[in-house]
Amino acid sequence: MISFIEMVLGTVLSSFVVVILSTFLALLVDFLFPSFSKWTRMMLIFIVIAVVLQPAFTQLTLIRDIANQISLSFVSIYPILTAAMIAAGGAFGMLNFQPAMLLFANGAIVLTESLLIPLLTAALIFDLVSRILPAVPFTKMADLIRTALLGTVSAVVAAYSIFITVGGTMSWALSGLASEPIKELIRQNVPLIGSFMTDSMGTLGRYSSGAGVFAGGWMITTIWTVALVPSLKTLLTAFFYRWTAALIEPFADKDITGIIDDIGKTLFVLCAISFLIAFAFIYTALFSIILIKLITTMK
Amino acid sequence: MVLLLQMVVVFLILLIITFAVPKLQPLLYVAIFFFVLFQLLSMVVFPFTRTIIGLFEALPDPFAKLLIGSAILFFISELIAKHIEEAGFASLAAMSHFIVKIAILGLWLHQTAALIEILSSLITK
Repeated sequence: MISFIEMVLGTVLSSFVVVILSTFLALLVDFLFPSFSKWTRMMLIFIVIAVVLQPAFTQLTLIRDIANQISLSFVSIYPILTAAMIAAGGAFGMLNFQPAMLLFANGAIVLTESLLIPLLTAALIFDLVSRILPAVPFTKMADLIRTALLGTVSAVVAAYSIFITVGGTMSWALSGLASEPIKELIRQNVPLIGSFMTDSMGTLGRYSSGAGVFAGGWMITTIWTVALVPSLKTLLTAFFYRWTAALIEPFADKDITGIIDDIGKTLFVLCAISFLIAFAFIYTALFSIILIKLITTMK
Repeated sequence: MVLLLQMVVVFLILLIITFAVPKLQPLLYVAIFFFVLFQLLSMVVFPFTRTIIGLFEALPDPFAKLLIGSAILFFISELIAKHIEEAGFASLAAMSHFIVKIAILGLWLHQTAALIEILSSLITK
């Protein structure tokens, strides 16, 4: 875990240093060759896109690949899982597993893969374009896309929680009384998606509690970790981007800080989207585990 | 400071030439101009550039070199183009400047290709 944080910190911190250094270099070149200043600005943007935004782009392609794989595996595995569920009969009834929920959870991934992530990429490109060519700004468009995406994802998560609480499984972890302060802390300190995060965590927690009886606590912890690592990594990267933008604002070019800040915002939305993926992963994994357990104990 | 003195001396020599042999002035001016230019380049500009590039070694590799190199190239080309223009060949000056701009773009071609690749990897599957 520590090395993972160090890795993220290292990439983003080094890019932060690169931004400062290249700003300084651009200042120097501007002083020596004033007639070159337009080009210098362009090349600074070049450096920022090619070097500093690399982690963000890697993150975006990573999440996109994960969504792609999960939606592919879902399409192949869904008929088998549903058939097995029907074969198992009423055993699933008490666990509040419904085939519709499985379809819904993974349908969200298909939606993510085919619509949400391309839209997010579009927002990213709109941001870049409006910074590179200030004469053709698309900032409102990018903001609109981001808000719409966040709204869609929140709606899907709300639908998840409705699905899950209909069966009345017991609460666990983050929804307890003791965790209220932590929830409040996350809600106020994570920009844009703080309250969304606590809500989806609560949904996940409520869901896993029902399954915990069957799968065992450690198994659930493992699945949670595996599923949430990409989301956490995205969240950390987003934080470092915004932090970098805030730190270099006094002495860097306005465009540069703007680009970094916008990318941070987009990454927060990406993190929200990746929660959908994490949820579908957790649901499918737990479902498969319980199915296997049922089949092996029935014999 | 010595360099400034040298420039003053060059200026004086040019003035003397203008008075002594007005007909040869353009030719001698060009000769002296390029002589001084190359001397200054080798004595001041290149060592200074090397120092600056060494200073910004921490930046990812080709960028500091490319930025400073192309800025200097642009500046020298501008200088020469202006000189040609003063001699009365404005279109030749524009052409030479244009060619150098293309050369600078050629230097950045590799980086541009990388950038386009990054951006297009976002939109293709």
